[in-house]
Amino acid sequence: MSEYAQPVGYWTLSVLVVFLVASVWLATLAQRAMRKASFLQGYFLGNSGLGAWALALTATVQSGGTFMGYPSLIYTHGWVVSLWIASYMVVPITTFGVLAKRMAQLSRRTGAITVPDLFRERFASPAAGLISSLLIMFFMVFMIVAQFKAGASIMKVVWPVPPAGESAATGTSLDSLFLIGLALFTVTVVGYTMIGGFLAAVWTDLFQSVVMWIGVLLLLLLTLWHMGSFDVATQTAVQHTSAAFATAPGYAPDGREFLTPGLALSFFFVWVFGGVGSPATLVRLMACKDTRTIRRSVVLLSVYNVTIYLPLLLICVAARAVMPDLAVSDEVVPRMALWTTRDLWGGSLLAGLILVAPFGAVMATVSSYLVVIASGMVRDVYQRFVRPSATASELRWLTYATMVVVGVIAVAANLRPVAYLQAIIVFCGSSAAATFVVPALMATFWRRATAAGAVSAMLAGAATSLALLIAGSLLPDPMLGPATRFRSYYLFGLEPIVWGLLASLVFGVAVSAASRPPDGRIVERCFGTPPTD
Amino acid sequence: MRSFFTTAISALTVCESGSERPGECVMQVDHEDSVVRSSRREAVLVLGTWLAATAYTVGYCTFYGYERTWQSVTLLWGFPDWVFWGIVCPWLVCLGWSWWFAYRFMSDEPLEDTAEAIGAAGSQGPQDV
Repeated sequence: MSEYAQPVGYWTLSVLVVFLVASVWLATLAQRAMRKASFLQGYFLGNSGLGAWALALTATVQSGGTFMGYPSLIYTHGWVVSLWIASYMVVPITTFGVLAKRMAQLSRRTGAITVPDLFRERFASPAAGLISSLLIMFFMVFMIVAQFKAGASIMKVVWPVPPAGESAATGTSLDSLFLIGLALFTVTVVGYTMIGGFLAAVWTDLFQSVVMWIGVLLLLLLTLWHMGSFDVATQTAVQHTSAAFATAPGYAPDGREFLTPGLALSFFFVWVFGGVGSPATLVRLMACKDTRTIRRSVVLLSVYNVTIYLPLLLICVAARAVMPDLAVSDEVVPRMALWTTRDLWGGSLLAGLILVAPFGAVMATVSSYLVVIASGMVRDVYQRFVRPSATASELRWLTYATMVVVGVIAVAANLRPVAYLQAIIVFCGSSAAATFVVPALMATFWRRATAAGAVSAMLAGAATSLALLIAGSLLPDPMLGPATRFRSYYLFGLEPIVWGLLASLVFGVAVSAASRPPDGRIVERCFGTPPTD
Repeated sequence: MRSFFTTAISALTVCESGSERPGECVMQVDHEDSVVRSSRREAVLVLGTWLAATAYTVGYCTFYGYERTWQSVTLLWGFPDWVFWGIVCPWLVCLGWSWWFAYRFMSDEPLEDTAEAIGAAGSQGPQDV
């Protein structure tokens, strides 16, 4: 038995169960809180009352990528992944400093509850609303399927079964454990999101963010305690791999270049604009309470990011030193949590607390995306185009049905689990950014922007990203970036988001300039000074 | 060439006051809400911050992180030197800069308006239930 395939105690699973129960309880509180206003305003926008902590720690939606994909890459490729993630140093200021005020203001002026709603009202165009809604649902479904796999994988790790060699004797196969984890995860997350809607997603996200932060810092301390110093961690990791583990473009036994300078530059677009243009982030900006909240959120998220991403680098480099032959690199954080707590009294309980971090991140992402997808279906498609006179009860049941259907689709897609979690997350995040950043900027800052221009910008960004993905899947592996079959074509060595944003910008500006100017009354409503009575 | 640029700029910005198509005339700059103006100003500074961070981090790491031998790498608090100076230090600088931006540069303004005066009645969408 490998020394780091630790048997898991029931305490670990118990902590996770307590975490799930706490999340459901928060959802019931959220359900009571949202009753103050209309169903749609409360269920999908939380009555526009997000405070600084909720906005800061949930806006950029740390996902399974943060606690599984990113650590997996560090473990595999080494210190160069710090350059890959480095743009998170400006993510707080870009996320809140560019669009937050105007999105919040426009949401209030137009009565928009969702991002498609806002595009529809700003450009007086049902087509802009419908197209944006369909694109959001398309990208979110991909993301959500990948996150369900992450959640089930974590549940599998913490299930208290004998080590691999003895599983046959108990009759419990590891695939069955994955399915059990998938079922538990699905029922819980879909359930609490159905109960409490947007506020449930935000409050549980906030709770999970705090737990994640504590979990990572605990794991950092435990890792340091075991290693003695992080210098030793890097030195040992290099011994197990090569000098490339401590330099760029990173370690890869097959000779690929994980991060060329061109890709490093690209990721300063990916994470920054991926944050700015994420539909889940945009709707949170719309829901913030006031500008003081936005300012405090910049600082809170800045502190949070530096205390999450830098420690994870140190932890996962140390993991390479102590567990050099981990079979599934996605499991590096759970495995490290179990390894560092194996000799501690109450270690199983402590491991559970640390394991809640990646699990919570995945749950938070799934619940946020469920709300976005459901709002798109209910508000932007059904209420706008099918039954404008739908009652609150009807909308509520349609919302529940949509969430259940999405959950079923995610489970079905994971009966043969998706690979390349991080690659899917990067693709979806980048494509969403290429699709929505330019239209959002046009809507909030450019009076001359037209509906035709906004729609063209969306379609151009999405089409460019998809075209480069298809090209990358058909062409031979360029031996750049992560080793995955789900890859894009790196035109001139750059990530597709760069070209997607460029195409979106060119089409957005050109088509706006060429099309009829917008109605002055709409522009006055969205940009004008309110008259003093 | 000059007339081309003049035409292009006109197409991209407001139309002249007294347009023959008054219903389509985009509003003038001096009627713009203060939130719009302050947001634009802040967005420009944020863009500059992003560009500076990108240039420094990618530039520094490109020069000092690639094509290094293990013997040439120095470890500082567990970080390789190029990571420490190229990523950790600017990250901490951004932390301080973000604080300054949030508490010294970004302005507080009301987000709520008198909805009726701004023509919320102009919304033709379905009733909120």
